[in-house]
Amino acid sequence: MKTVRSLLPSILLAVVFVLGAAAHGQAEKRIGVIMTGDIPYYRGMHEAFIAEINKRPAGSEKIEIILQRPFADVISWSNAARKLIAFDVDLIVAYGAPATQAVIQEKSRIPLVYAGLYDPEHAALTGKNLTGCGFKVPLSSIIRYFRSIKTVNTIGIVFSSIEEDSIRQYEAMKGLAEQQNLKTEKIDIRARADLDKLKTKKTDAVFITGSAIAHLWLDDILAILKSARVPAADIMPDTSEAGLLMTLFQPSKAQGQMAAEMVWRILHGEKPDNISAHTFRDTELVFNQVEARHLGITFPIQLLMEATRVVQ
Amino acid sequence: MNRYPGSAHSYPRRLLASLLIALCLAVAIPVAAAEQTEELLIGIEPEHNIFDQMEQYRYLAGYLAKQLGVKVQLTIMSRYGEVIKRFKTLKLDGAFLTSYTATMGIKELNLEPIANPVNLSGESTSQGYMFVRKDSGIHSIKDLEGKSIVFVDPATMEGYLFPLAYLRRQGIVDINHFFNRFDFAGSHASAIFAVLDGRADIGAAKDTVFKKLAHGDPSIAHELEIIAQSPKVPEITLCIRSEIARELREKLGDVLLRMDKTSDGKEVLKQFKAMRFVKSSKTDFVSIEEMALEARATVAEH
Amino acid sequence: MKNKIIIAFLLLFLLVLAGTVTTLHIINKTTANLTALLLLHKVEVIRQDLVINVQTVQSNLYTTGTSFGKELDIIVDNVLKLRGRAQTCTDCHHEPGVEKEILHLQELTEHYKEALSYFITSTADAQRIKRLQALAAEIGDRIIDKSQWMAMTANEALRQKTTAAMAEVANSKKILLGTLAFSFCVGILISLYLIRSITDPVADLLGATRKIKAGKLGYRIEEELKDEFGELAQSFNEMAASLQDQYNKLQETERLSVVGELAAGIAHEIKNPMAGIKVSMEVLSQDSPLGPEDKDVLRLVINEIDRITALLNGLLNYARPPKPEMIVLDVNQVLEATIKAARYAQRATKNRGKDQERPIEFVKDFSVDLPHIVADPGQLQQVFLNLLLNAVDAILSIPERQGVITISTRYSSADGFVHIAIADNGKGIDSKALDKVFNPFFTTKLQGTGLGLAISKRVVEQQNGGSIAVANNPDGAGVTFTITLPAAARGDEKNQA
Repeated sequence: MKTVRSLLPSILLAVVFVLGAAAHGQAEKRIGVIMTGDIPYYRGMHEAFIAEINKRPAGSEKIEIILQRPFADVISWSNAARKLIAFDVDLIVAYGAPATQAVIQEKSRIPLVYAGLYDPEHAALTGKNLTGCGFKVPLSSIIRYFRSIKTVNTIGIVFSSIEEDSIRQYEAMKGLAEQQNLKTEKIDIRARADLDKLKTKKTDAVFITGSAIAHLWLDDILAILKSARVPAADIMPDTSEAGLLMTLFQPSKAQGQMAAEMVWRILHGEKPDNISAHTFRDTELVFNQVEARHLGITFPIQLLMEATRVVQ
Repeated sequence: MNRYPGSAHSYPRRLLASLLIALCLAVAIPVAAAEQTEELLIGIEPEHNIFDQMEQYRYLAGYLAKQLGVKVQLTIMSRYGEVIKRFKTLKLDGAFLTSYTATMGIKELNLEPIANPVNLSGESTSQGYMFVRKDSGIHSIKDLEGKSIVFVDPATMEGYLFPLAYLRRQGIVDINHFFNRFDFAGSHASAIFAVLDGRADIGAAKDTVFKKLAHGDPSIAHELEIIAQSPKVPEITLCIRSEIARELREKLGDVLLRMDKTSDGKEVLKQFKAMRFVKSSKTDFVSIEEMALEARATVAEH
Repeated sequence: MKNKIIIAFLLLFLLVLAGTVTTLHIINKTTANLTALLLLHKVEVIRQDLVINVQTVQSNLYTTGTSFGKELDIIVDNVLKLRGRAQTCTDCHHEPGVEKEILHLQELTEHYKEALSYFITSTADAQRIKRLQALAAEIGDRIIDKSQWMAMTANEALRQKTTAAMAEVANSKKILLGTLAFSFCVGILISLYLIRSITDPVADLLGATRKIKAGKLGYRIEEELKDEFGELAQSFNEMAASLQDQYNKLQETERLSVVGELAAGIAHEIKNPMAGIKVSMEVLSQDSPLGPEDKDVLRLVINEIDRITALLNGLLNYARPPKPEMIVLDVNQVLEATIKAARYAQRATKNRGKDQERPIEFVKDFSVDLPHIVADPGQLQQVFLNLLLNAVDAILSIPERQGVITISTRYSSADGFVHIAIADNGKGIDSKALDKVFNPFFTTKLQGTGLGLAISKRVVEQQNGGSIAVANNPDGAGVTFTITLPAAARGDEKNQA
């Protein structure tokens, strides 16, 4: 898995190089891309984005993509946005709420297409000249499934207070848990040292929000939870299939494809404000039987029936 | 002129043979008509857990055998949908059928509905629900377009027939084009969970299952919105082949309808998880037949 | 002894009871062990059934695939049997560890059932159905694995339990033999003790009877015998004493009889010559020309002859008393007559010029409703008179004393005897002489023959079992003679005089 991760930037760079080299002789469009974090979820989205762009008929314009993968903190996001504005790209694509907000804050005239935002209808996006897509996952299902596999009194919520949509997920989950008389434990990850909070907080199950920072250290988070035999659920797909008991996620490919579609339309003259934003609500449910065995948990058969996929 | 050359001499023999055959038939037919039943083979349409279901029905079969003085055998009818075929191949005398299969049985096999059980909540009927997530943004039929829909099984009234008929009435003829995707969840509960999880946008299922799940988890009713309801129809009906002697059919109905009046019967009803049986008639299934007509048009067109 | 025997038998009974209880307990324990072993073997059968059921269902699962027909009923039957088998496992008692495993097995069975049910009934997409099939198959395999593991555990338990049960049986055998031996020994000890405690005193008693038989009447059982044997020994000693007493009396009677016969013979032989001598002396004193001095001598001789004659009469009376003529009579009347005679006799004595002037008072203290007795009234009167005159003599022997003789009669319903007491306030009798007063020839009086009381005793004893006793009065003045005579039976009243 590590080799794939280390190879991925090289592949992307190669793609950018090829596209860039091809654009030399002709008029070219430059698209700046910022990932909130270099995590599989956004990488997958970006791959789908590129694949979709490449599917478009090659016209007179060649497209150059400048990818920014800043470290997940406020300054890095801001720097990445400024860098792309300085490059004077034709359009900026931002994956995740922090990157999107960083671009908006720079107040440039460059059109912005966002993707991978959680529940964009409720995101505080104030700028103009922007459109995009996001996703929403019914967090109540996560509580329901946790409760059907074990007794849950306290749910730990891993989130990052510097990521706007992660905060909203935390709030939403907290609200749902309270409705069902469950306690919640706030586990705010802003730096690596915050991972120790997982060791001290007593929880029966942990929900990991779609935080880029948290997902950068996902393996470490899961290792800690595994040693404490606490099951974890995520709303981002578990690409490594190691450690998460269940994931209820919206497949990111569709968002990448939709972002490419929007970019194409904007590059062909449409105003971003005229392109309506979209929230993907389709989900996939994956249970990890291997992890369940580690935790001594037996999935009710009904649950295994519900799963889109079961990791055996 | 002999129209049948070479056969004149054989005519009397043929006549004799015909007479003999006719005589045999004359003897055989009344025998067949008043079929002396020594054993009733009753099929059971599988529901949730066929083993528990079988145990539950065995109490009832035992009681019926004792009361009717005939052997009552039970057989599970495998998956939904093949009921009519199974009825023929298994040579069943009757079966406990869900509303849609009962309707088909009545229509195609001329089965006679006898009685249907009243469940412990006092309900003998069920209805179909169509539902979406409240936060799905679906507010009108138009909003359904391009979404995904989950049915239960092609052989259920509540989980297939009803939503198809409903959509048809709303002017949606081709579900293949109208929806982005449609699936069969395999069970009513799965259809409900699929919509709850966002794995499908629209779902259809039986109200009894919906209510049961909502009772166990109040968040379900809180998150789902019922957008359409079917008429109420008998949930499960015992249907009997009309070739079975009238006397036995009547006796069977009588035993079932009076079960809750006897102490033995009450005990069996307790094991069967029902309050009593109520009389069932063919008119109970008219609405389903109408639905089937509408739905079939929809199915035929896609 | 009775108590000892009861206690001994009780002890033996308890011992037998304890032995029986121990035996029963051991039998129970052994049976329980064997039952447990049988049960374990049964468990193996159950397990094999379970495995066969799962294997059948598993093969159905793989062979029939997703299209089930008639074989579905067979599967349902098999699964229900499987569940039944899994449920029987918890019917027995198990150790907590095994219990947990069995519960897990049951849980797996329930899961298996559920998975199969979903697999058979679900009409979902092929991917899900395949998932369900794999899941059901996996659970089935786990049930087989688990039950095989449990079989190994059960076999080990079976081996251990068999060893333990055999050891227990051997142990039980030892305990049983020990109990039997102990009971036998204790039984023997108790029997020995009982035999000894019966035979020893019996031997003592037997020895004593042999001694008595040999004539050693003075022999007494000196050993301290216990319980009833002690009482028996005491009775034996009393019997021996009584026997000796009776023997002495018999000897005395015989002696007296011989002496009496001898004396009567002699007396008779002496009396006739004496009568001759007396007559001769009287003739000589009246008719002979002897001087007054000589005549005085003759009179002295005659007096002495009278005394000899009186003595001889008394002797005859004692030795050969006349046969009593028994009639029913009222003692009070006889006493009344006797007292009169005594008064007369006293006056006669006074008139004879003796120095006795003092009057003696006779106090009669008679019981009014005294029953009659059967006796010879003459002989009785003789006895009473003798006693009254003795009393008078005793009173008169003390100068200046106001004589009082109290004659009282009483009836004791307790012994059915009439008691007659004659008490004086005379000088009394020396305690050493008291025992001898009824012996012949014992007298304290100068003029007495010493036969009066001896005759009285013989006469009283002839009266239908009567008796006579004497005792000094408690105040130290005088003696009281008490005569007891049996009251007449009702039938005797008819012969009243």
